Amino acid sequence: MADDPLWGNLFRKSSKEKDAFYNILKNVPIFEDLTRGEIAKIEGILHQRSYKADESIVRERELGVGMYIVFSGGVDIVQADGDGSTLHLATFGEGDFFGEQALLDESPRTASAIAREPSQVVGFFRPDLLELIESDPRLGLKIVMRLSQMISVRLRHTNRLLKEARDPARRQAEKEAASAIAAEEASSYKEDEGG
Amino acid sequence: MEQGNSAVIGRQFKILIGVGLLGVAFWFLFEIRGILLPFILAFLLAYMLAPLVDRLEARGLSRVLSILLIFILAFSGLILGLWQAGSKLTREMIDLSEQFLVKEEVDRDFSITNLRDRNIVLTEISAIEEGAPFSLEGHIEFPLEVGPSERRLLRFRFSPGPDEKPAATNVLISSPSLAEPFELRLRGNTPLAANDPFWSGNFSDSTLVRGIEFSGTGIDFGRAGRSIITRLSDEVDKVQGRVMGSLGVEGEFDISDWIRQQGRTIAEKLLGGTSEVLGGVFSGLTFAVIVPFVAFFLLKEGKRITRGVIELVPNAYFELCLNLLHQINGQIGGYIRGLILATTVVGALSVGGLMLIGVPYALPVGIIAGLANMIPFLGPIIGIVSASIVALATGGGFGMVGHVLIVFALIQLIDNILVQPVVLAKSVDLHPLIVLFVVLVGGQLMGLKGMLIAVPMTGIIKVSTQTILEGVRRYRIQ
Repeated sequence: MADDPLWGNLFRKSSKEKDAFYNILKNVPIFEDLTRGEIAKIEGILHQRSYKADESIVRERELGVGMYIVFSGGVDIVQADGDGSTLHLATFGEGDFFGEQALLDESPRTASAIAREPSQVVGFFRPDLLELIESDPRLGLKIVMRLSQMISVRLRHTNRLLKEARDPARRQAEKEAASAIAAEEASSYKEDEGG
Repeated sequence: MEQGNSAVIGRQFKILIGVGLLGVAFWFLFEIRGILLPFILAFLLAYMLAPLVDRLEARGLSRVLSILLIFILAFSGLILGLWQAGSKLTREMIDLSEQFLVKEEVDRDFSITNLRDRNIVLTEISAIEEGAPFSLEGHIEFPLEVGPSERRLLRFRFSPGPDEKPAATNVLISSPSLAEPFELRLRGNTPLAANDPFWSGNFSDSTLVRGIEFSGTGIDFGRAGRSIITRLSDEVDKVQGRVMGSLGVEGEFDISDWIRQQGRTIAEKLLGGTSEVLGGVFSGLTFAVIVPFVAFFLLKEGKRITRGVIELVPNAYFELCLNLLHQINGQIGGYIRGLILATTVVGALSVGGLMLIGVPYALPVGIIAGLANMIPFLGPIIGIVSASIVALATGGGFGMVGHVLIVFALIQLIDNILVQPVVLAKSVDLHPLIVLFVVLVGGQLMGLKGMLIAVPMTGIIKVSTQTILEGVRRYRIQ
């Protein structure tokens, strides 16, 4: 049976495809803790979409419904600048994901995602996550837990960046304050001298 | 500028195509409306049971097993209910519609055919017993000669009078050609019973005695008497004189007469199809098979069907559609479950309340009140009016109408305070005029069935449109 070129190939290909799908999902942080069976269940609620080159996947300022995982191809993340030009933020490839914040709340997208070449992406959306929480609370909770951990890691990272940005600023401010005082002292000294 | 123009034209073209497609879809639905009902019912059933299935599935059962379990429970409950109340309900419904349509006199023809090759003579028909409510119509001279292969019709009339008691009598038809007189039995207002000694044998089968064929051995006139309309108009007649006298408009118009004339026409129009509905909806085997079958697959494959639909949506609208479909799904589910809950509660309370105050035919009248309650404002009035008509016509008098009013006021109170706040149905807020209109349209298109599904369908359409408009507005906030 395995020697039969037609059947053998067919089966191998489909199982290979399945494996590829599984491997990609397995490496997405929010699905990390899941068993093979649970990932199979998740596959049932994901939406596979294909995009042509230069086609938008999500648009900045539109309401987000969920996250996307890049299955093949590449996706540019861009932000509109105030003056009409665009700012390139990142490029995502196979296995990368974006938009996971929209799984938690219905807020406008902060950046656009545009396919840079013909790409396959897999969407995981809030309505489906909510339904999953209803129908399989254990699995739903696992995902939400990982999601919150990711958000918390990002928040900590942001805090550190904020702190780093703030520290030099504070030093700068102190310096400026000090030099202002010095200047004032100097001027009063001058006034004294002049007077 | 030119680009803007072409964009506008493209947009208009798209809208035109969309409207055209919508029109075609409506036309198609209109054409196949005859077979839509089981699918609509299955759709409603699926929405009603979906949360139960989801809950069982969350407990670790497989989806198919959950659906089957709920179906088995629901259907055994339904069968038990039909066993207990169904036959009573059907009997009361048929009885009640008969009460509306019953005539004060019933005529039946009886035929005597001469199958011999020479004349026979009917010498006499015995006089009908004194006081029996039967009579021989028309002027027939005896002895009556009947030629070979000639048929004579005798028309008998049953007019039971105001007491409407069961009546039975025998009539003897004598002829020298017969060894002994032929005995014809007449009866009316007597329900048919099995092993009835009076009707040994099948009385409606024609019998041949010495070459003379009689069209039967007996005549059952069925029911005759004053219809509910007549009684109602009699009731009104009693009060009318007094009320009009005190108002000083005596004799200007006659309400009781109007009721008598219009009531019959309306009753015939409304109830003419009752037996058809009962036969078509409740005992249709195709129905009993198709509805659960379709509902099963909607419950099992519903999510996959939605996913299939979403897959077809172009990338640009995909997220919007996904979100909207989900929201519409939730809204429709809440609306249908709320409607069914409200209808059931009001129906059950009406049946119970009417039974408690002793209104006859409480079961069908209460169910009508429950179903009518789907119509805002008008629904409770329909319930009150139908219960009052039955109360008046069955001799309850205006005292019982007062009780009916109290019962329905209490039910409305319970509905508005306890039921409506829990259900979503109220939030749909259909305008009474729209509801009245769609109920009439439903009746025009699909008869009584159409009237019943008109309100939920309109609610579903309104909820969906509302969600779509709101969603599109919020989504494109740029």
